[in-house]
Amino acid sequence: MTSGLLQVKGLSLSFSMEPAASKAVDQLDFTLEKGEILGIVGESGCGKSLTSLAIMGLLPPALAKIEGGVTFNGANLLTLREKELRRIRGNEISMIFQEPMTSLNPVYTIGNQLIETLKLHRKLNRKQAYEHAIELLKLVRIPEPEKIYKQYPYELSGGLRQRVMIAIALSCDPKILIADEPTTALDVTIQSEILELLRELRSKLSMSVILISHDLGVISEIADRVMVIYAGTAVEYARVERIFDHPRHPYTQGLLNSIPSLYDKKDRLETIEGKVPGADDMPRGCKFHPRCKHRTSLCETFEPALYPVEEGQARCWMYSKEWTSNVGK
Amino acid sequence: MWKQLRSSGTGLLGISILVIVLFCALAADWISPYDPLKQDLANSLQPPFWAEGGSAQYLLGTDQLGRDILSRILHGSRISLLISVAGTVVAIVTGLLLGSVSGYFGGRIDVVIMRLADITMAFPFVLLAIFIVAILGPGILNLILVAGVSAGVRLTRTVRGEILFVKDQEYIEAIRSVGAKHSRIIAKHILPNIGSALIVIATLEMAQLILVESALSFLGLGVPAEVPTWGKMLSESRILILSEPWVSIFPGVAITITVLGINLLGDWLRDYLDPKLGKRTN
Amino acid sequence: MLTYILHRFYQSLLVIVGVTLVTFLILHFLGDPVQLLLPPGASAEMMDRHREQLGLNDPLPLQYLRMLSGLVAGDIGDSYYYKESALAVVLERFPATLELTAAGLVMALVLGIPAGIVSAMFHNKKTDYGIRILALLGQCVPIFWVGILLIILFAVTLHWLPTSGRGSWQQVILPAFALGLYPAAAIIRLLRSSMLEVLNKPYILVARAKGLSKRSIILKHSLKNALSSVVTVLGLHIADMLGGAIVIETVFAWPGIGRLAIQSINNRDFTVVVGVVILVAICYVVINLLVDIVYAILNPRIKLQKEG
Repeated sequence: MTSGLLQVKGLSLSFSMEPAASKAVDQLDFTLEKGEILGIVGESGCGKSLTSLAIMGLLPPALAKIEGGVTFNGANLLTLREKELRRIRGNEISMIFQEPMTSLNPVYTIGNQLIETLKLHRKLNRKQAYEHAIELLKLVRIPEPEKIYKQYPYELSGGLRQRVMIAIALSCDPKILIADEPTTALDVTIQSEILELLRELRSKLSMSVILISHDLGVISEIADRVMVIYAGTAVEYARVERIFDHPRHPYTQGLLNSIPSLYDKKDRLETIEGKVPGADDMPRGCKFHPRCKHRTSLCETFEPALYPVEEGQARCWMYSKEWTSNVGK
Repeated sequence: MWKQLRSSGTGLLGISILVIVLFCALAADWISPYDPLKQDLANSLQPPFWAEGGSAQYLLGTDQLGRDILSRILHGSRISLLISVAGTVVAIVTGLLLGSVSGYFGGRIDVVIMRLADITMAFPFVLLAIFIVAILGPGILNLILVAGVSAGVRLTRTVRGEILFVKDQEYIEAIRSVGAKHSRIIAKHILPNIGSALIVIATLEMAQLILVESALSFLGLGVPAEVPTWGKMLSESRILILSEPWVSIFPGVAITITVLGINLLGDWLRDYLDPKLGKRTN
Repeated sequence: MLTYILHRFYQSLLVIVGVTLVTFLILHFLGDPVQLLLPPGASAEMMDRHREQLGLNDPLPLQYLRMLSGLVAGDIGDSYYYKESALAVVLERFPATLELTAAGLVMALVLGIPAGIVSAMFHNKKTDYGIRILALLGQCVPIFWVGILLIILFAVTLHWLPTSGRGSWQQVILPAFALGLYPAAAIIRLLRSSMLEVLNKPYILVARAKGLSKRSIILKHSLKNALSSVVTVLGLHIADMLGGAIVIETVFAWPGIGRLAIQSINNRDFTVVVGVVILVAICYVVINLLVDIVYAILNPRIKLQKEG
């Protein structure tokens, strides 16, 4: 892999000290290039949020084991001291979270919370910060920014609040914006507005975005590349168009088949049989095999490595040399 | 329940303390080395046995009239426990009655009762007690009444709050639609639900009552008889502060330990009966 | 904001009127006012004459109105002990009690708030346990005993501070500490649990994601939210402190209305006691009003909701 803006290598996170216990995030690798939108897809509990927290250095103290490396600007974010991490947070790497209704402090005005990062990282005075803040609010297309500046969070709708969160995240021109399920708590109509906004901002500010979601539809709207995670492991990488046209990993295929579509008239939505394994009953071999139509004894015993498929990779035995030469066994 | 109590260090401590205090109160006559009223002027102001000049004859020393401090402390527990327990009972009855009526029927009666509660709470307890004692004169019954009503007002608030909460639940509507009488609804369906909140708050009020009763005794407004109470002992010891400080220490320790026991028990009860309750009753 | 203040003001006024009514009723129904208001040993004829004079044979509502108007005019009768207007006697000593209560409040806040914050910051570590044990004990010790112990320790043994009286700042310290101990303990426990609750909220994670320092997150983002729960109970504690002041004044010979009330009971100077009771109740109501206003400032949602 070419070394991009952010490089995650062998990231493993575990809540238990036991070497045999299963990990929340297992040997995750990915790279984020400058100016691209990387989509990370997976169900709840698959470890995608933990990954983003790892990048920000905000991992919960309950984590027992942290392994691997997250390289940014030549430094490993996992080993940096808190003081240096604080310099990066909100400044070079920013994050927006899922619940806009509870992400803003209820006792301070929007403006107050907006200029915090400006005063902290850019050392602006009140007047400069105010002007910059108004520009930011305009950038995220908030109407009547001067009025909103003085208001309290409870006076704003969910969609507006999320825009404010984006404005706060952008305030110091970050190189990377991590958006963790930014639209999940919002109405569908507001959803596309927010996604459109993110895409626009990416081009205007040539910023890289990591977009995390359980919804492939959301990912497909603006992502360039996609990484699919299952039970803490990456199972497929691809460019977004290819994921939709030819999903390779059975899990990805299942995800796509369960999206209701206007064009395919189906009587019932397809679901993936079974459920996501918990930390206690992680299967041996390929983690997805109990729910996979194509499983073989090989899948039940050994975990597959990543194999190249067209325009990407998939972690499935079906694409290995051994399989193609032994089809059907 | 007992298993959980045993596993909680503080809960266990609380109830052990209370059991000991209760034992002292009930068995005071038998376990006291001396008659608490008996004076021994020749041996007055003796320090406790571990200090210089003390002896095993009077384990905790004697006061200015030669009375044995240990015996007086053991007997002192009686009044304190009596008033706080009786007062708490009065408080619970008052609180339940007024709170239920207020919460269940709502409307004007609710407003009136709540205003009365506001007004009663505008008098700090000690002040109210002073006032009533000044008019009616000191006496156990008066003290219990004042204590009970004052704590009862606070309980009324809690009971009302809980009832309002339960009243809105759907199953009450269901029962009412079947035609049950108000009193039956309150007694059978609503009260059992508020039981836990009530027990917790009542326990904590009991701790308060001990503190207030001892304060009143200290001020000279307590029980008039010769019976020693901890508050009175402290009031009598004030002139001795400069020369014989120990007389002032033991009664205070007794009060503190008793209140500690009740508070620990109350905290444990709160956690045991309903962990969510902590937020509502706080 | 203004409508809210006016609304609370009106409510408070109602309660104050209620207080006077209740005082009046207790006075007239629980005891014989004449016996109480006259010096002991008065003859039956004197009592009858006084009954006429005081208008005690008039219908009750009339008597109540008379008392109310007297109160507003500043006259509820004379203190037989001090031979002057009872209200004047009370008001003369009132500032001393206010001073003591205010000092107690300051002491409670100065002790309680930092300790509560530290307790939350180091929660479940040794510092936290230590503070919590002290706070628990602080709520179990009787005030007057604390006062006595403080005198024994700091005045008698160490000779650092005076034992009693009012005048110099050294004389306020011990009584204020004794008075403020219980509320301080309550504040510590409440603030600690409040802060811990707030620190788990999503907006705190967001604040950390902005790169803000721990100090900023605790002092700016958490404290303001946590304090509002402390403010709501502050009114109750101040009422308790007024009651506690009565006891403390006796221990430290502090010349306030609490000590006055006790002395007057012993002197059977009842008019003065009535004066103290009404004044304290009014105080309590006013303090609660102020506390509610402060709360509204801390919590803008309430403020603006009342504005409609």
